Amino acid sequence: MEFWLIVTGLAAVSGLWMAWPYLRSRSVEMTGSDGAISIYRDQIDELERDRRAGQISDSECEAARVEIERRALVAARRLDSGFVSSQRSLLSAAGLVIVAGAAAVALYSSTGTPQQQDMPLAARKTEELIRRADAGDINSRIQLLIQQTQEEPESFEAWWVLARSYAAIGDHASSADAYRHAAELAGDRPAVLSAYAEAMTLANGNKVPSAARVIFEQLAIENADPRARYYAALAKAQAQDFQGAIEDWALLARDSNPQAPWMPLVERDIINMARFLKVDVTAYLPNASAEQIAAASNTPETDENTPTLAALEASLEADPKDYKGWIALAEARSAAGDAEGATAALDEGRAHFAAAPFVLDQFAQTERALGLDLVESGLRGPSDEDIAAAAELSQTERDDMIAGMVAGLAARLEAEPNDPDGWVMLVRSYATLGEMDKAQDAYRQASATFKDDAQVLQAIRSQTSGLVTGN
Amino acid sequence: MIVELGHFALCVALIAALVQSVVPLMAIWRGSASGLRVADSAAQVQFAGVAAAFAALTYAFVVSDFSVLTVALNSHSAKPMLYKVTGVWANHEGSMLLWVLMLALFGVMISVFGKVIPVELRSRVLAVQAMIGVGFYLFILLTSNPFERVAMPPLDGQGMNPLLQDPGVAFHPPLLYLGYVGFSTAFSFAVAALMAGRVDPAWARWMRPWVLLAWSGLTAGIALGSWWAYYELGWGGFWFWDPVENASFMPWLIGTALLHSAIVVEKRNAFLKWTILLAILTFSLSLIGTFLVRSGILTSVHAFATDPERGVFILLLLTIAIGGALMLFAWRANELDDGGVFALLSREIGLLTNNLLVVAATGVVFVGTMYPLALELVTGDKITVGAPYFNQTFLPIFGLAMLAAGIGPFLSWKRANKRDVLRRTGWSAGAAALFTVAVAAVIGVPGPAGVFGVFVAAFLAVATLQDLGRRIGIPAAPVGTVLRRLAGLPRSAWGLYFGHLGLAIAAAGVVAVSLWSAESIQTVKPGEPVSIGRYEFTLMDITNTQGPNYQTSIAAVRVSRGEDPVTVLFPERRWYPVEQKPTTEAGIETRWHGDLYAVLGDPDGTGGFVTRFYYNPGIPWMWAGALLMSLAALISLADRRLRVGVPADRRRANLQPAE
Repeated sequence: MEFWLIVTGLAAVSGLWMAWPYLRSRSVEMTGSDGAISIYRDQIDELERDRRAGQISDSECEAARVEIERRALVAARRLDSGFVSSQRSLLSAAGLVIVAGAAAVALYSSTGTPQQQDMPLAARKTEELIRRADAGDINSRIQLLIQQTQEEPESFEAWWVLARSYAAIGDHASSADAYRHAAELAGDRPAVLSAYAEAMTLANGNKVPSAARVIFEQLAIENADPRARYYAALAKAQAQDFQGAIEDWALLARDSNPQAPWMPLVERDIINMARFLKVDVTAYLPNASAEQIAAASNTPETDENTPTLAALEASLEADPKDYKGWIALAEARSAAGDAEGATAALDEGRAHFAAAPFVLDQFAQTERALGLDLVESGLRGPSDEDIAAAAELSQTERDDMIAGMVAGLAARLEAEPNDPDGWVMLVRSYATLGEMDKAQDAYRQASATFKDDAQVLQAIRSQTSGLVTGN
Repeated sequence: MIVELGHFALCVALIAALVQSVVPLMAIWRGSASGLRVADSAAQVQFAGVAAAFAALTYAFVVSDFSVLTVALNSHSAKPMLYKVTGVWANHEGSMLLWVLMLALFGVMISVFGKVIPVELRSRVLAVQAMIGVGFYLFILLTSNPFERVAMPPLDGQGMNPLLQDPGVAFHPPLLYLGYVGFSTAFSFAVAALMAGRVDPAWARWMRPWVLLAWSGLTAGIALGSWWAYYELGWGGFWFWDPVENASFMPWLIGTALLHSAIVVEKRNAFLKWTILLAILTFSLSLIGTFLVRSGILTSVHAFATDPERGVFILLLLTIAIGGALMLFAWRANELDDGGVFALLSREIGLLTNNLLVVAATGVVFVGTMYPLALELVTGDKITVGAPYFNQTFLPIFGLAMLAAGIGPFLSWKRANKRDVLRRTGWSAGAAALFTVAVAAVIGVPGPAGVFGVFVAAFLAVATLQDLGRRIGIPAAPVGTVLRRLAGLPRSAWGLYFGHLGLAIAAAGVVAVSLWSAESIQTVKPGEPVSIGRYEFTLMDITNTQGPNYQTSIAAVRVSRGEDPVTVLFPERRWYPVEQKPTTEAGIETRWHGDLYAVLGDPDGTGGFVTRFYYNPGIPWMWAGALLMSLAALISLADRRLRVGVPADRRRANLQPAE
């Protein structure tokens, strides 16, 4: 509607502008002109100038002047006729406005698409992002939130939601940055500050940076914020003040409702720390269960199924591609109070599985469960360098790394066997490495896994045909 | 909504053009002054409409509104902003919109600055101008609507031909169109004169500024296009006698003739019919050029779309405009009386000679351009008429025309002094011959054609300078008088001298590069020197990097002369992933005497690269000469007597002491 109003307005203005001469008061126009005469005057001026400059002689000048005057006389004869008068003619004006305006609108109606809006790319991008975000795509949601913070950089809400969304996808560095903006806008709100400091800590590989530590300690004192208290204690532990850390955690545990969401984490850390310090866990966790006490005790486990340390080390020497072996070794060493040995075991395991994310993840979980991340070891941190180094590896080293990747794949399939493509890849990889027994074995396992699904079986069979027997 | 309002504005422009072409002619018939004035107001509305449409399309390109088909087909969101804006006219629909924008611009300028033109003539001119406009608006709205929408717009556009992603696209098409379309004013003046059955010197004076403006724009546009091809296509050449180039060159040639014959009409009231015919032919060749380029008959970087329907439509327009005008000419020309008597040896005859030579040259180019097309149409055979044909036919004729351009200014109007002209011609010819011999002795000139070329360029330069010298009194007059006369020269005289000198300089450049350019194509590994003439080119290293929307390999090519380092050139090879096309960017260093030019080609797979190295002497002179010619037209345009507001200025001018 608005569009048609504008169109009609424009048509009317255009029509009126064109019809303007009909609306002016009466005037007389000369249609002939002294144009030609003025040219002859110019020519005579020019002659005069040339004569004075000495470029033509007097006689030449005179002859030319006569010629020009003769022509001027001819031209003057035409001046007589040639007046037209104009007069106001509302009828003509109205006719012109209506006919022209209607014609323009009609022409547009037949060629245009009036219902279609402008669709600049920027607007459509938002549209598209909203659609995807509504369908549950968190990355699109984040894009939208970024746009929102650009449009309203003073909005605490926008930064806060963005920061939480980053945290949800594990991008703690971006999350910390967004929390920083939120914290600046929120003033001293403790919840915001502690979330900011936590994000900084997570972005720093769960090591509390000094800036975050200041925030946590201040919040712990002023507001008794449980998160701040937990991280302040963690910071103490990471600064080698183990006793202080376990005491602070114990206080936090005592002050907290046993059902509080942070309690499992606090209890786990108390248990690990008690084991590490070789102290009685009940002193810090009065309600500790028998299981927890056992986990925190120094006594090595006597379960007969658990292989001895020496046996584990020997078997790993023979076959380093056993990630469960490395985890078992780390657990055994940690249980024996050898935290550094446990860390070393996991690091060595990482070296063998540098290109297998699933296994690395398992190692990281083990590390955290054992509380090894509380202890600074300087030698930690896998993969990026390892992968970069892989580019410069010798052939044997490269083979070794590939073997590690394959072993990682095998490990993952053992944990999550419902992955036909993964099995096919595993069979092919073993075949490529020349380990036909293992290929055969993997094929058998895959067949067993999918024995109820003929279609998948057929697919695996056809994609591995010629590599293994039995299909 | 902006896009749709642009579409509506274009419809308004068409209706305004219809009003502008019908109402004034009816008013002349019925003697209504108001109706005559409608030509002005309609021209203004028409311009406002098409300018709004153009602005709306530009908006659509800038914000990447891919619901507009033209934008979706010719733009991409990752393009730099400059090429989003220039992309508006780097496609068929947008360039046609630019075409009518220019047409409407000339119309509105005539309506605003042409108040001195008697209202009857002005409204006739505007009416004819609007008729051309109506044809092209219909063409745009019916076959090439830039505002066509797509219901389901794509996520991104298809991009723009990378060859066109160059700053040159910002200037070359608008300037070229300024020329092409500007000649429509000459056409309109000619047809208006035929309709009125009357031509007088004032008519030529009123027409000439528009022709000068158009000619200036066309000169600059052609030169820019040639320069662009020179550095972007990487062949080391600047003119390929490509039909598209010829399409712009023919209106230029015949427009040059028109420019000169209009002087005769103004000064001497002679050549009236001839000038009207030239005006019609000039714009006809512009239209033919548009037809060749836009119909898809030719495939080139300019043929954005090939669509037979469009070709037929333009052909129809062409037939109506050219055929109608020529029929009108045949019918009414006899009623025009040529005045002015002149002797065989006079400036009139000089200009006529020149006109005939230039028209003959145009004819030769026309045949060379159209013959292969006609042959293909009739027999289906594909032939190419290339440089050898044009060099053997066009160049000698144009050389003669240049000699005539040198002698022309020696001739006085009506009756020239034979002995004087012969003496001055002889003097100039002698000096030019001496120069030619000197050049042949020092550098060496291969072949008689080369000797002729050097002589022609030198003769035109010497003759022009000699005429200037004599006009200001060298050597007889004292220094003070010389300076006073120099300062007092009318601007039209400066136009003459700069224009002819520019032509001489450009010609010298063409001759130099044809005779003495050195080139070499080879595969080299970095560090291997290649000798080109007196220079040594060495490929140093290749850097791969990223542009805004392309990947590029930039080579460093060191140029040295003997032991002395001269410069380092940086030719590039770009790859545009969106369009999936490569481009070359020549590395060029311009010296006063010529260009050092390097092109990087493909790698050969063993560490070497195909490279082309050139030394092109004279190339900078060509651009400088063309620029000077374009400038000369503007200087001439600024002449007081040509300014459109002449009579208004007259009273003041009379009060001043004569120069």
